[in-house]
Amino acid sequence: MSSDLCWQVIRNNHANLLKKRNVSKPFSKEANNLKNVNSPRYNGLCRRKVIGIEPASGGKGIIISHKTAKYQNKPVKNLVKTTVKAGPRRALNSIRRFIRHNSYRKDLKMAALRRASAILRSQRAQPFKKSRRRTYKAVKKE
Amino acid sequence: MAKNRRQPYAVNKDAGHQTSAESWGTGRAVARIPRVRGGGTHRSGQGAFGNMCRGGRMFAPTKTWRRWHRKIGVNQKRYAMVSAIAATSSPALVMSKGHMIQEVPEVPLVVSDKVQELSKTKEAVLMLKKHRAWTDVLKVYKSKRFRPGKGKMRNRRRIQRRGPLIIYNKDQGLTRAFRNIPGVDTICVEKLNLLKLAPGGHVGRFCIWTESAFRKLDSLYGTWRKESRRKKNYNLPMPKMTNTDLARILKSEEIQAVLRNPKKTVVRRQVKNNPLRNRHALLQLNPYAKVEKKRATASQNKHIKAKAKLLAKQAEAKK
Repeated sequence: MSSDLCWQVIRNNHANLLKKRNVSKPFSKEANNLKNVNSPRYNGLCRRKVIGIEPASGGKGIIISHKTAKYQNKPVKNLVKTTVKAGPRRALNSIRRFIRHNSYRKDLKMAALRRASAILRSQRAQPFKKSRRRTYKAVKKE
Repeated sequence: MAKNRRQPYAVNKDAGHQTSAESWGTGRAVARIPRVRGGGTHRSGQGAFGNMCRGGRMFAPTKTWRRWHRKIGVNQKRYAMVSAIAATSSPALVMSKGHMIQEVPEVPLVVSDKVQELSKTKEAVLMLKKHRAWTDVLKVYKSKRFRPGKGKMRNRRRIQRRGPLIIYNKDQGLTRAFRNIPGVDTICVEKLNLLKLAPGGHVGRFCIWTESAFRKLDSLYGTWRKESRRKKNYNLPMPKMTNTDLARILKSEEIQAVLRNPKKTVVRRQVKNNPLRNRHALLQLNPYAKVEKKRATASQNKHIKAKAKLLAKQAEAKK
């Protein structure tokens, strides 16, 4: 079933749609949507080639999932997930290379990189903030 | 189609009219609405017969002869059924309906006929787990909740999601095995129900077919080459587009040969310079201006020089 036909069926109503008041462009919650936006380009279910980027379990690294061209009707085998635990530069590079060398959804390249860097940024250690604490003991000593 | 299961409801046809009320007319310092006759009770003197009155009849009382059911043509129903069955074969559509089929080995999921002989719910659960359909049932469990609104008081208290639909050919215990699993419905191929295949009017329910049920589909609905054997004179509907892949169509030879080249030049906004202040702009518009200006400056210089000379002469003369 072609992705265009599928999109026509789905575009207004599907399980992951989020339409809210005062929000003109609906969001979409499906797994492989890079921008979580309801649009035929970013939809994670309709298309034959799809890229998804999720944070890896354990708080470090990202998981890149993509749909293989084969096994379009076998959901188990269709989605391939690769974990990238290396640092941010390597992770982003691996995404970039994957997209470019396989020519896999080049229109998603920037979105994929942005999502990955947002995830990686959130995984960085938070800078230590010295909280202002009143140490009564010290005052007493003085 | 869901309207066909409705039971009529209506207000009692006498409601609000079981009084002999008459208006008191004017002159009595009350509103002119008909009032109940007689005396001795609360009711006497109260308004009646109006939708605004307490105890009066409602506006447009509901009648039992409202058109509750809808007739739908056979062909339309078959078209819908056939489209719904087709939709269950597309993993994208089934997932978009919300079914958890990420782990299911193949869509459409066809299972051996042994399933029809299952008699214990335990076995049924095991079968669903083996085929990775259990996550969908788990989702049903999680979605059990109370209905919001007055439906609670009207015998529609609890709601839950729909789970997988098992389609069988011969029931040898299957319905009883799957009966108690929440969300799971069972249906015989010969009696496919659109309300079960596309619940809520949205196509793409997760269906599990038994082998013989799946094989029967051809004889039930036909293939385009052969007519249906079970339905008189019926064949699958012709699709509006044989090839729906827009991208493919647009890149095809036939279309690309007729297109002109894409215009890749980017036209950017030009800053307009004022020719009265910008010499370059002026010269673009009026190239003769160069000559004019030159002449003008030349004559101006001449005048300046002449004046200077004159002044000098005058100065000298004064001396």
